Order: sequence, then structure tokens, then C-alpha cells
Amino acid sequence: MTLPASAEPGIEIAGVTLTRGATPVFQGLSLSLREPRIGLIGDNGAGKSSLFRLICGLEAPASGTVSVCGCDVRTGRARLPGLVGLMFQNPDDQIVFPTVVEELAFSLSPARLPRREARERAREFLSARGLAGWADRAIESLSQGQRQHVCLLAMLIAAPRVLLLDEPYASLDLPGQAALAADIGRAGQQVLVSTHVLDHVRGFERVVWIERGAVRDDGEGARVCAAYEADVRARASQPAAGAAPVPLRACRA
Amino acid sequence: MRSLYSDRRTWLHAVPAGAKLLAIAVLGTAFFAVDRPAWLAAGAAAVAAAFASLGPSVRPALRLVVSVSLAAGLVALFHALAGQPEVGLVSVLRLMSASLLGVMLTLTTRFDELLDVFETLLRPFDRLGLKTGRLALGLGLMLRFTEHFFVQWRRMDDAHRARTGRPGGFALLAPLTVRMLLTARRVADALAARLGG
Repeated sequence: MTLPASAEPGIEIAGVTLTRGATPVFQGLSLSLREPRIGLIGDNGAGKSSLFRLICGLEAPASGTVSVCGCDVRTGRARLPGLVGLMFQNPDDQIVFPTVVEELAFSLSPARLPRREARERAREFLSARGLAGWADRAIESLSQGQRQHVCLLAMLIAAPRVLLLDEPYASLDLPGQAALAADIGRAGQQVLVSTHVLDHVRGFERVVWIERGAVRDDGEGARVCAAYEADVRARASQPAAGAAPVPLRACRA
Repeated sequence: MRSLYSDRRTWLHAVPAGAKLLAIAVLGTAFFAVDRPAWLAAGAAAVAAAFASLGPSVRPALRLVVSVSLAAGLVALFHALAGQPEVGLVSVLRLMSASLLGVMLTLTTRFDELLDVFETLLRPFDRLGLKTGRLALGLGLMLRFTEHFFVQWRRMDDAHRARTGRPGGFALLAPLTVRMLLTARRVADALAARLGG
């Protein structure tokens, strides 16, 4: 898989320090992300979502630089929507419009298309994917997996060069996960996926394991996933000090 | 964001958003300008009939209407106890009519149609250098958040009932406020990521 030749591909993170309140999230983090498919794994709170927020300019680092396809995320904010798309964990946080066609058309607003034309483009985009029937449906009438799919489509229609998917499998049933994995496989963009469902990134050529804001391991998917799983198993087999198993109590009702 | 929009088409879906907003503005003003209960009752009956004519499409908003009715009932009771039942009746008719008009708009109007109207109305300010597109989006989001607020409240109330067997009432006010502030931040993030801040 190759990126468009015109793009200076990849994400460069150089010496980034990010603090939230008094808590340091990253201290001097450097990463060069150029592979077409990259998985991000690690415990909750390790910094995966923060890394995504940095890449799409939602967080400004205290020091260091982040650039996407050669565009500095701090100085080139206006260009970013055309370069990088972020899919949030919860579709409800992302979907602003009450119907599918409007939500997709809204993604074209940085391109300054007239609304009517944007809506037409959104309809064509849905038809091309065999989803013409979705256009006028209310988001409320869609299942969680379908809403997630709308978020992905809203990101794809804007045709950014990089897609960031933050725990996209978290609330999907198995068919939903399989469909999303197939969509990711088909996407022509560079895709970064953060997930706890390791099977979806095991086959990636690169997986980065993040632990407490630093890279713990970085390399071929199968190897890094296995290392993380072994670490989790080792931690789980050492019960925390003083934590005795809690007996189940009978219901009092 | 959650919404109450109904994709089951009704006659009101076909009415342009501008006409609906104008009707709300005119009728809303009329309901507050008139204070004869008989006229207000006739107006409220007409609004209720229009609401009922939407048929099963009103289902997403039924609980909202019931909540507003309960609040209206309390208002009426308060005025009755204060010895002014007629003031109570007038307040209830105005409250119910205005709420039903708003609910009808929400149920049958797409957000981008509303944005079109706002942008058209704000166009003269373009010349002053105002970013009217963003301003229209801000105004529209204010309306969307009202809807989202209600849907969120309904979900929290369901959770409260499931755990305690009682409706949440005022106990939900603080958690709902926190939830709404968090949602506002996340929606702002999503918009910043999509529009380039």
C-alpha cells in the first residue's frame, strides 16, 4: 500500500512534552510514524488518546514539535482537517447532525463547498458504497455499530491522508468489528488504530506499545502484541498487596 | 450528540425551515401578547391538533411533552394555591403551546436546514468581517444542545429508576450539568478536529 505521491507521508513527533494539570503525560517523546498501518496498544491512561489529540492539534505540547505530512500541527491548524481525521471512542461525541447525509456533508465544510453541493456529494458517496438508503435516516435510529460506521464515513469523505481511530472496536459486536476491520483494510490512507482488541492489530507491520507516556516496545505487530500480553499475564498473576478475594454475598432483597 | 429528529416523514418535514421558524416567532409572540384565556385555549388547541397530526413521528418526544405537562401542572397548582387560577391557566396554555411548537420544529427539521436559515439571516454581517458561518453553527448548536440535554436527562433518569426504583428528579441536576459540560468539551474537540479549530 502506498500513500499519494504528492504527500510527504507520515507523522513526526519530536521531543514532545505534554502535561495535563500537574501530571506529565509525555516527557520528550519522539516517534516517526510512516508505516501505512500502525497499532497503538497499552493500558488505559498510558497516553494513546493523548497522542492522537496531539497529532490532530487538539493538544498543544509544552515543548517539541508534531507534524503531519510535513505540516506543523500548531501553525497549520487550518490545513489539518484535510490531512488528518480522528474518530473518537464514542460516536455520540462526534456526530453533531441528526441525519446521516448532513453529518457526512458537514465533513466537507473545510473545503468550502456550498451546502447543497456538499449534500449531493454525501449522497453520491453513500450510494457508491451501497448505502443510499442511509442518507435520510435519523442517527438515533441507527445501532451503535452503524453510528460508528457513520463516523468512519464522515472521516473518509473528507479524504484526509491520515486516519486516527481511537479504540474503534470498544463497543462493537463481532460482526461490527469484522466490518470495521475490513473498512480499515480497504482505506487508502495511513491508518493508526489504538485498541485493546489486539487481534485487529496483530497483523500490522508496526505496533507501538505505550506505557506511562513512553514507548515500551515498538516493532512488528505479532511480536509486540505477544510481549504486551505476556506482561499483562505476569501482572495479573501477582495479586496486589492486601487484596484478598472478595466472597460473593447473597442478595438481601 | 443525541437528537429527537424523526426520520418518519410528515407534512411538516416538507415545510421549509425558514417558514417554521417564522411561524414559531409569530405564534410565540402572539401567545404572549394575548391574555384572554379563551383565545389562548383556542390557539393551544390548534397547536395540539397540529402536533397530533404528525402521528407516530412524535414518539421520540412524547416523554418530553409529558415532562413539560407535569411542570405546567405544577405551575397551575401554584397559581391556584395563590388564589389566581386564571393566571395559572394562562401560563399553562402559553407554556404548553410554546413547548409544542419547539418540539414540532425539532422533530421535523434537519440541522443543516436551520443553519441555512441562520446563515441567510446573518449574511449582512459578512460585510462587517464577522465569520457568520461559525456564528450560525454556534446558534444552531445551542438548539442542538437543548435536545441533547433532554435525551441525556432521559437516560440518566432511566439509570436512576433502574437502580432505585424512583425517578431521579432534582438529584440528577448536578450530574447532568457535569455530563453536559463534558459533552460540550468533547463536541468542541470533534468540531475543532473537523473544522481546523
